Amino acid sequence: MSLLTVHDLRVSYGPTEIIHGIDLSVERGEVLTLIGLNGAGKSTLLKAIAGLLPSSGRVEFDGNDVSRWRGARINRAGLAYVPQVNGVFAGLTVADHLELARHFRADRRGLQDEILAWFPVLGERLGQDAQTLSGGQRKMLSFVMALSCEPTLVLLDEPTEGVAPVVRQQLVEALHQVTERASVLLVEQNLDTALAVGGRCLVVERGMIVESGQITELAASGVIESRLSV
Amino acid sequence: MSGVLATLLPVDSFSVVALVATFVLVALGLHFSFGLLGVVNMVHGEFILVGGYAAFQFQDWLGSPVWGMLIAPFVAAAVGALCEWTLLRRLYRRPLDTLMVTFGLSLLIRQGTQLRFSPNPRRVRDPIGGAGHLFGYNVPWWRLVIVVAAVVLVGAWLLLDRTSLGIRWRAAVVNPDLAESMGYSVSRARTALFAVGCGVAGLAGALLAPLNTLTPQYGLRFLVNSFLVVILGKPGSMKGLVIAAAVLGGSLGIMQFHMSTVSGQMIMLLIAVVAARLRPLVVARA
Repeated sequence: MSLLTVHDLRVSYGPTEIIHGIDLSVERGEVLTLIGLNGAGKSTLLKAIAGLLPSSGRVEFDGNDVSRWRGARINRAGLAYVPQVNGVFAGLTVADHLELARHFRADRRGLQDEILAWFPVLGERLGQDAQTLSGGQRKMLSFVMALSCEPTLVLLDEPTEGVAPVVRQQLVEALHQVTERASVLLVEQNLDTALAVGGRCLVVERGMIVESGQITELAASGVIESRLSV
Repeated sequence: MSGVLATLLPVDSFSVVALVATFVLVALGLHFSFGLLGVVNMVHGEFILVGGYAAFQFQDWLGSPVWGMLIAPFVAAAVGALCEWTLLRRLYRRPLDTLMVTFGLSLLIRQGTQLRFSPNPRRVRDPIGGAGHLFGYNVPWWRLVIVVAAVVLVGAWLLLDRTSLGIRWRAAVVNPDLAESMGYSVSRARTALFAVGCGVAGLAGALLAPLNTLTPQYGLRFLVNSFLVVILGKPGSMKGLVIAAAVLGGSLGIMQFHMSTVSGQMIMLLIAVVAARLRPLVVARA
């Protein structure tokens, strides 16, 4: 049985339907990348799966029908979500974020310290307001928070978007570590990052899946490049 | 200098301090519902009303208003939680809708109070009574209780704000989606915060009841000042709330020694307008 199965998922903002009946599945240990242009509906799809947007259709996670579950309950079932933006709490320090992330799993401090070691810069800024961190550091903190709950599936929304190349390299290395610990549903616009992570790929366009296959094959055949060119 | 101070601050200037404490007390509940949750809470005054009448009711039943003062915050918090759970939780991020709904609720509670207790004025006895001298000031003991209550409540919130629960509540307020995606039930946090705000308003209503006459309009007299304090102090900021209460309550208290209450309130409103205009400049310089 797949870890995540999405069937005929539809999401609307007011009267406008953004996601038009998407079907997808993520197997245990798999990396699935959603790739597409801005406004294709990738982030909306991720939020709906995470239980943060109202949707219709069916979402099954780890054998449970979570279609009507709230985001908090889905998270406690083992699904972590890393948003593209607004991934930190303004006014709270880095240490506050780490405490929040392990609140339900106090016994996993060791795990959190292990993940925190991937990003030594965060350890030096524990007392700093997270809102004042650089964009890359905020992404790192989001990673640590999401993984502290030892999830079985991680939804990552453009984790390397808008960061310096050196930080991007760090985040890609962290992504590799994540894929060893959990299944990943990744949204990415950067083809290099997607290729670095590998796995299966779905191309999303106007709220629908228009191509699917192994990312290396789709990239080699030029399908992704043609779909991503405006 | 001392001559000027003596002119500005007459002997019984403790009442100025008590008025500042009153402003803090009545605005504190609104800090939660409006300042943190963004609900344009027109029913805030009615939770003060609930507290006042709870004190009166227990005085009627047991002969002393003290039990009512202890129970009032819980009664108001329970009513507040019910309002949030049934109506308001669907309206977050829709301030105009919260305004309309809470306005309707305020009418409902006020009319309900009138049906139960009649429009006739009621009195709640001062449980301590009397006055004494403290640091050379004439201090009515009950007003001292109000000052202590304001200090304790602000201190308690500042302490709670640094605890794990306080951090979770703040997280749920500043970034609800992220908090939800981390396993925190945002709807529960909102209900709790709204109930705490109503409970604090109820406590304020009960504590201030011996100094006022209770009528179904009791809460309305505090509503405008509460909004002024929270808005001027910057919604969501406890430090700002205390400073705004000190500026507005202090100026009204001092003015009342030199002119009628109505003139004092007009000048206080003028100060509020000027302070609101200057605040961005002061913040920018800081």
